[in-house]
Amino acid sequence: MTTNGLHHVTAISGPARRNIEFYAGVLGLRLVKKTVNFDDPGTYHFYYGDADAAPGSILTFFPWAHVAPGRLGVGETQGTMFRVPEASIGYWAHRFVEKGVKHEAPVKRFGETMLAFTDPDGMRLALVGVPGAELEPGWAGSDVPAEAAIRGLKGVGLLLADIAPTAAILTDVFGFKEVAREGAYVRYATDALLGNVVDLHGVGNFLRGRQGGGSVHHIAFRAADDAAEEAMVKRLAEHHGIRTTEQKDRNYFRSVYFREPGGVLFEIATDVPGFAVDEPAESLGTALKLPSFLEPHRAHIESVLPDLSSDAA
Amino acid sequence: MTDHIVTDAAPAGAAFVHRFEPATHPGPAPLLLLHGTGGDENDLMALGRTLSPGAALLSPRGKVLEHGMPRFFARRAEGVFDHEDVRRRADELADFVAAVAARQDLAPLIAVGFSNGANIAAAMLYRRPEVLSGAILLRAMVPLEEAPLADLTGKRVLILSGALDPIVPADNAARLAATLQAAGAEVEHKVVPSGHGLTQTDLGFAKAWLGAGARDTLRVR
Repeated sequence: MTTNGLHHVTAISGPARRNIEFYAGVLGLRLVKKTVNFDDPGTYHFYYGDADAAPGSILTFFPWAHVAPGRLGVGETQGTMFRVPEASIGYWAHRFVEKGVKHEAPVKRFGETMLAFTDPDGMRLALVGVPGAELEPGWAGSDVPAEAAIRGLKGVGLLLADIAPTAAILTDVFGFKEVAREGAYVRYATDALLGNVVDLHGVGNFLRGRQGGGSVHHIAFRAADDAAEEAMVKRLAEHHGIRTTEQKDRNYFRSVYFREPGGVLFEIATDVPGFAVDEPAESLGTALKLPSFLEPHRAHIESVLPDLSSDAA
Repeated sequence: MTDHIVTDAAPAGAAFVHRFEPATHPGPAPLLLLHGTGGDENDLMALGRTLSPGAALLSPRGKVLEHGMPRFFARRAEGVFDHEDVRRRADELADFVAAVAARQDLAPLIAVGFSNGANIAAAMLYRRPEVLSGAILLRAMVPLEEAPLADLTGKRVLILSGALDPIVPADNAARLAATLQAAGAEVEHKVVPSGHGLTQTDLGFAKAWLGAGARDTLRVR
């Protein structure tokens, strides 16, 4: 099985508790890691994923209590798509009505049924009915029945002025291939099971986006290990004239970052060591985990973090 | 010891390059936004709008240039201030703020300063507190070795320091808090688990402190 594809998507949200209530509650994702933003340890960093916290299933958030809403524009992520069994779309539409989630009527996109909706911060999301997804195990730890549970990320759509330079990086560095065109959308895919789709939406000159609540902060692509990441960094430099940051240890993966030509912040993240590196796989996401350099400050950090049990969070 | 080359960006007494945004609704205290070294008058505008939506915002650019980077007063090295210049610049900035406040009919402002901007805000509290009703000092240090000149009773001050700040020693920030408190100010000193840079954590504390102050004002009325 290829390791080419998305590793995770990271977005900015409003209050922490509301974020958990929506993603672990309404959407029934597994909260697989509760840690802090390493660059701002007084704020949380939440990771949601599937039962195995597999690369390609991970959606992460920086919850900022006082965030101003973002505004969609070119050079950013237009939407983030999840995989669900085809037969569950009706269940989800019903659930969205019941839970007061803003959503649209299902439409066909690239031959699949897509149910678009937004989270409490206005983040643009969609469920895509994927043939065969019902055969994959679903997370049973929420009140969404396992047969309807989300099966990882499908992928993302990027809103760009000109898709060519971004497409060149997807195909040359990250192992994607153009698989379909529909209107102004071009679909690129790998043969990974999860997070294998990037849709590029070229719109020419259009307003630039403004990052804020509901905006995707960055998109991470998978590398099997440090050597594979290093090879991608080399390719970016030699074929595309792009330099990345130095490697940063994010505890659960090791990352480099770069701004792709269309303006979106891209990351390359290693599959290793994964989310079970600092807590057992069966109890992922239950305790607040800190990187070793912040462990001495734990009491202080815990006193500053928003209270997840009250509306103040 | 680095050699800090300092030049005047503008003659003393001249107006400050600045941005002013009038209030869009009545009520919130106007904010005086004071940038850090290398910043300019645009830096903290978004922060001001986030902290106090609708408040009038006054954001001057520091007149001292250090290797081309604007600051509010000269220093001899990191953490070593030119006290003579601190006094002169604090007075000059206070004169400018008073003039704008008179022209725009503003109530006394709450200073929101970051790093060097926090230090000049602290220096204004030491020397010219009448133009300010309070201050949010982000990563501030003791600006002057003498005691504040005036009684600071009724002035609210929030000091936010970083536990991992390599630039501001913890005891220095604590000494600033104690000095302002001894002069009568109502001081709240919080340490956030981060470095010298501004974080969402700071924003949360600053917003809560501003909100508490606004509620107190309403109760007094």
